[in-house]
Amino acid sequence: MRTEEALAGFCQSIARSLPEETVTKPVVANPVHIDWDKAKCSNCISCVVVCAERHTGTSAPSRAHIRINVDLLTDNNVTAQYCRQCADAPCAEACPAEAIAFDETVRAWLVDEEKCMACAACVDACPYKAIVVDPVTNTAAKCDLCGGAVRCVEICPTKALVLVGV
Amino acid sequence: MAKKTGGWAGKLLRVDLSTGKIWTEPSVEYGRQYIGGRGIGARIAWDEIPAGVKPFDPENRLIVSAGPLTGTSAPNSGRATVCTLSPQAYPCEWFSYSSIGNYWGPTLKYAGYDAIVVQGASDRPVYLWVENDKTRLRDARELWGKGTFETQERLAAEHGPDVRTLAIGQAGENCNRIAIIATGTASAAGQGGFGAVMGAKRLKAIAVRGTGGIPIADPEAFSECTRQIAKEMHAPSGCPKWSTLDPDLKREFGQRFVACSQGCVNPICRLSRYYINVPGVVYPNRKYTGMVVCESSLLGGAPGTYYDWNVGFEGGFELAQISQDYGINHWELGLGMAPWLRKCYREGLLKDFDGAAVDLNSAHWWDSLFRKIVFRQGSGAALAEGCVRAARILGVGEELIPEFFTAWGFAGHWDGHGDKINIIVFPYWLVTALQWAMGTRDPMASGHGYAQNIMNWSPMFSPDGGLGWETIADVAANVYGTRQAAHPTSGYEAKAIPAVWHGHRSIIKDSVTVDDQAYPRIYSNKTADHFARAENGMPGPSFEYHMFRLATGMEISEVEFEGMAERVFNLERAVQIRNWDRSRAVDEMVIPHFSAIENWVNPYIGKGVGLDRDKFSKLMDEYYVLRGWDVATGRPTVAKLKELGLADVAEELTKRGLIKETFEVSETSKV
Repeated sequence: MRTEEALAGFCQSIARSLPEETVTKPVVANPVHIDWDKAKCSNCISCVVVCAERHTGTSAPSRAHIRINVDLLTDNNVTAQYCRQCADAPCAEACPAEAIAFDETVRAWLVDEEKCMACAACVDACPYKAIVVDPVTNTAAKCDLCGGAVRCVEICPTKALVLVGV
Repeated sequence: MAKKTGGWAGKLLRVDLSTGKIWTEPSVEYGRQYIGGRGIGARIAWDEIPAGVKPFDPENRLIVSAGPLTGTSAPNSGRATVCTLSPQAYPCEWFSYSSIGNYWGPTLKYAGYDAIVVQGASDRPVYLWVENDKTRLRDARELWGKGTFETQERLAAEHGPDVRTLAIGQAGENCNRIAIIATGTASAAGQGGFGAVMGAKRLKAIAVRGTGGIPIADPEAFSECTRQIAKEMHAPSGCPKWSTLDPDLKREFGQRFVACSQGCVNPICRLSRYYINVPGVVYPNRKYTGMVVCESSLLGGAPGTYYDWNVGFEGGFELAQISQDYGINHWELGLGMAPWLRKCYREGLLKDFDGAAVDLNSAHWWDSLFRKIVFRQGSGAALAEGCVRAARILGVGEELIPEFFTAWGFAGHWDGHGDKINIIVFPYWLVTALQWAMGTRDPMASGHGYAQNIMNWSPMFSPDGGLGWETIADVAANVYGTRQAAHPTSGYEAKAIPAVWHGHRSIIKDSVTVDDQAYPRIYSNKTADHFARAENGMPGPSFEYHMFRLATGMEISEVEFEGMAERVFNLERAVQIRNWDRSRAVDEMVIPHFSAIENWVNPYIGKGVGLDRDKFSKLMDEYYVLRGWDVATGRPTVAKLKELGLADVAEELTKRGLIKETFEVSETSKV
């Protein structure tokens, strides 16, 4: 089990692998969350597609809650956007409708679609660009750890994605 | 409630470059009849490419299609299939196909299209820009003369980094018959010379941004199905472990495995590796970053084979990148042309190569070869026509061509002959020979599935011991109905069955679309009986069927699904018959190549053998009978075409006197 400190350090190392403007402040992650290792990623984006299918019933990467941005042509630049289930979740903090709450069972921050007003305050607040307003449902959408069996982690062929803290 | 339809995006994008007109047509009926990909290509060829049309004519159609599984969570489904008349094919420039990976096919689906069909020709260079439902032809004069890398970079700069582009390089612009259509740094529709078709149409690129999604008929069941399949394909077992990364290359150039196509769930595929900042040998000031795959990694040389040159890792990597940038076919260059040129030179048939020696150990020599071809300088003007035509034009080494080029203008490919790199032993290459005989190019979508698959799992070639020969035969019995279809002592017995079966699987792979190397799943080292199965018991060879059924919502049986593939196979044959008078006599043209003694020896036989013409002729009879084709002519009967729902095709072929009502015992087969 990682210590709180190591987790904070880890988040900073992830932050370094993201484009500068993405991360405004390091955030302490919850014990249970997804980790992505750029060095192991094979850029197959299977995780993105299964996430979209799991949550929207369509193969629509643009609606997935994890994004792998691949620009392999010139500079091998691959970045990921995914939820850290932050301990002090800025998305929940920013939500005027209190629609985002921590669920102790799945140990993830979940969106209550009934309460959500699609104001996108959470989108602006998230330092990892890991929450979006879904264009079809018009509600905020984010990683819910699939309620248990995390599909993106499961599909990942290279173990670049892992679920830590379990 | 109507049953939900999914999988297909629902539209074909039609483009007429002569008039500048762009329109859409519904695609689901094509899909329900012909699956997608190669199947859509075959139907459009039948309907719209009449006999007499040549590859560079404006009437030729360039069809780039995805399939119902492309871009979904179906493992290894990130592909598209290009179908058009082949400038490389020889002696007839007939209709053929080539698959292309990376991210383009899925992006097309996300933009809302199953296929793009391009006809006509532009009078000035253009590129097609597709952003979801916004489509337009744009001026490409600025891009003309640029390589495939710069073309993609400029279009990404113009339209955004998430744009995926098919592009031609200078080779395609100059209508070289070995020009590719490229995407990324290593992916291509390589075989066929299709880049030249785009060049003749003055279509520099097709750039796509797709931000939509693909509906799935039964998302929950589909998701569970693809999860099961991915698990079957995952390491540590599920495929023989072929290789590991090289510690030096890892340290120096960041060598790593990457997915050559979206959706690849194979973590240790030996074929695709990525490198960063590799210094050039020919151009020491340059640094190259990108991927190499199977054949492009061979440009560095492969000891112990014909391809025994050595330009070093850096040289080979640079050559792969330079030729991909020009847009010329790695397979033709490395496995056909260059070793053929060297043999001509060594045997004194070729005194020199435009005043210089033929030196395959020199990266500079290769680079100058590329330039000569791409810009048609000196002998390069002939080589740009493809090696088989070049031998005729130059009047050099025609007698050596069959050694390197199996048939139809295409270099050897896993056929047990020519070079030792084609590690297939008798009797397995008999199936390959049948596949070549019925094909329009190197038939790898079916060849990988049978002969290469068996060899990879065999105790002879599997790097981790593989399965016993008897086990392989046992597993094969589940698929082909008889152990003799894959037993090492079975000789000519039961070889038509796998040739037909894999012929259909090839159509399925190129039509739904999934990767050629990953499907069909047959052997496994995870199950007790070594027959590939998912955890839930779903048999490996049925993976494509279940994914297709659940994604599309089509309620058909597995037999009916294979019937769709058979329909496409027969339709492709019908196009061959109508436009090029394809017949058994043409199919038999592959016999001389396979009559040579094989390279590797089957341990049960103890010496190398070649094809026995009489026995193979009987095997061809068996094949045609299994297909319901006329044995004497090698053509489908009217009854067969009607049974497959191709009555209109049967009618036209009958009207032209090209096929018969039923079997007839012809004069030749009576003898």
